[in-house]
Amino acid sequence: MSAATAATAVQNRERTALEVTGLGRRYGRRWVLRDATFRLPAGRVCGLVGPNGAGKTTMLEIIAGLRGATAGEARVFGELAGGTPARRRVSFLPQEKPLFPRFTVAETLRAGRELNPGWDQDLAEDFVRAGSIDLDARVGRLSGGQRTRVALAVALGKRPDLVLLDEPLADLDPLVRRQTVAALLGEVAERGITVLLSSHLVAELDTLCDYLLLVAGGGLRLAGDVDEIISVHRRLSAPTDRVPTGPGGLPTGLEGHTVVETHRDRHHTTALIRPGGPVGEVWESIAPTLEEVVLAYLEQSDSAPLISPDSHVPGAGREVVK
Amino acid sequence: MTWLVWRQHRTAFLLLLVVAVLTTAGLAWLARDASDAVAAVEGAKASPGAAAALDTAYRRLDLLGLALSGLPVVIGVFVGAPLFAGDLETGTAKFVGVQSYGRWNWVATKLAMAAGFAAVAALSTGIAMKALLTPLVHHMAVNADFTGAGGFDTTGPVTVALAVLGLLIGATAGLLTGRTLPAMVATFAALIAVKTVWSRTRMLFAPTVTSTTGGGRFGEDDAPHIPAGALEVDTSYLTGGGGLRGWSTCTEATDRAACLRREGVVGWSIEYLPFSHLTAMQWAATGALTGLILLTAVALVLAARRALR
Repeated sequence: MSAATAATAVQNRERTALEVTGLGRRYGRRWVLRDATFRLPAGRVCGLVGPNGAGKTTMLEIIAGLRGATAGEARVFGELAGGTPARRRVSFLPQEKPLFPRFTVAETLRAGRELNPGWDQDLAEDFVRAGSIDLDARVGRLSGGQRTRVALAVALGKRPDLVLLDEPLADLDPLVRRQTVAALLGEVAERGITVLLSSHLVAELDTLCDYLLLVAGGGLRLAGDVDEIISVHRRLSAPTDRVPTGPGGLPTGLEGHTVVETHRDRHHTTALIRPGGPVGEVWESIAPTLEEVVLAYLEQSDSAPLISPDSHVPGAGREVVK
Repeated sequence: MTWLVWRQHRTAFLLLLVVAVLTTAGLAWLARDASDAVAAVEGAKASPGAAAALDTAYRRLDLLGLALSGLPVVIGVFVGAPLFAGDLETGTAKFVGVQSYGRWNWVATKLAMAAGFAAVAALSTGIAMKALLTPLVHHMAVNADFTGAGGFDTTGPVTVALAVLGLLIGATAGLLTGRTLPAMVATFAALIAVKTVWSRTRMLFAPTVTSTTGGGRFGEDDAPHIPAGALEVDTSYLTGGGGLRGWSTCTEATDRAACLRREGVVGWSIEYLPFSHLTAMQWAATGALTGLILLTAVALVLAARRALR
């Protein structure tokens, strides 16, 4: 390999924070995660959405090196997940945010320092202090929001390139949630860290993420830039009597478009589509919110997937639909 | 890593050390007492008070031996069982598992440090216990059984091996159950079972000596005398053909001597264990325990792979 090719390979590797290929995990005979395949470009804050039991936590645990995969593999900046090089570049905050309850905050940070060669003590301490948390306080006596901040400080103090967060905001009240998000996003933006966070707070993904992965029905349904995802969808509505059901079971006028979801009652018919051309005048067409798109794909898990080119793993079977 | 393990388990480790230091000091003091009592009784003018003091020393030895033989159980239940069960219960195993150094590093450090403290505790109490046991065995071994749990399991290399075995069984139970209290109960049950089996196998490692008499002299007074510091293991009648007859042979007969002669008895055979053979017996037993420790370590690795992956 020439020096130039090697440099390009490194550059490509650094451009993709995470590449997951055919990843699966089985417990006994039950598959909790099956055939997950996607790429996550570096520098993005990516929301990972899916119904309960879709294997989101399992996938994050495999990427973090906590679990082995039964099938397929995950690579973090080109390094196999679970190995020492990948482990050093990833931080994972599990949903339960485990910390040693008898340790003080300072001791918790010391534990982070002992366990990570690239530890940044100043960053971790500043992150904790910014939340007005006393370094001598016992972790067991902190509030939920303070514990989350300390856990995030450990995750960030490791100086990771990829941070995995499993439902990080689920147990926080709205004000603390907003403060925590602001603090986290501030660090992430400043250091160019890639974030993959699973969340069921669909409404808040809009403000948090610029990238989205949606897993449902045993496969990837949506993957790509949030603005792009929104821009290729339209939310349609029309009076029901003007759009009778056509031969395919769809309201007339939607042929030629990719229909993600339709709702019909006596008065109104609504649909979420990916337009394949101009939409008939009978339909009123507006841009959907991210929440509407996500919920539609979650409800209709058999709808045609939309995978953006930078999320697509070449040769991985499913082709880009766009 | 060492700092983390120390910070996490320092209370248990320190308690173990304090208990070991106090026990060792107490035993050393009692050992000096016992030596004095033996010297007083064996001296030219033994007073009735000296005999009573020696009686007390033997009774104490019994009780202390019994208590100290529980050390591996204490280590297994209170140090071994919570070693990993606590982390699995609270999720802190995950906290460690996602840091740069892998969890195997952490598992090894925990085990090494806990085993170190357990070994030091067992070694120091073992040395002190041996100091207490020795003069009492030399004076009258029959009152200071050095092949039982109280004398054998609490001294020399055996006590260290048993402590480490207790720790590993506890740690394995913790990894298997993933919860502290069930792990402690399971460890207690497992160690009681191990100690019961061990009590039945201990004598297999005894390098005994057999002393015989012949010439048709098998009266009670003709039995060979064994050294004062030795324990009688078995006493039988010896026949002319070299066979053994039980000690109770012909007890029902009216003329016992005639009956024994008819049975072909020509003398006595006494199997005994000199105190000087204790060290050899203990190393042989430690070898067997090391095998058991390795087996437990394999089980622990498998349990850790299951619990931590």
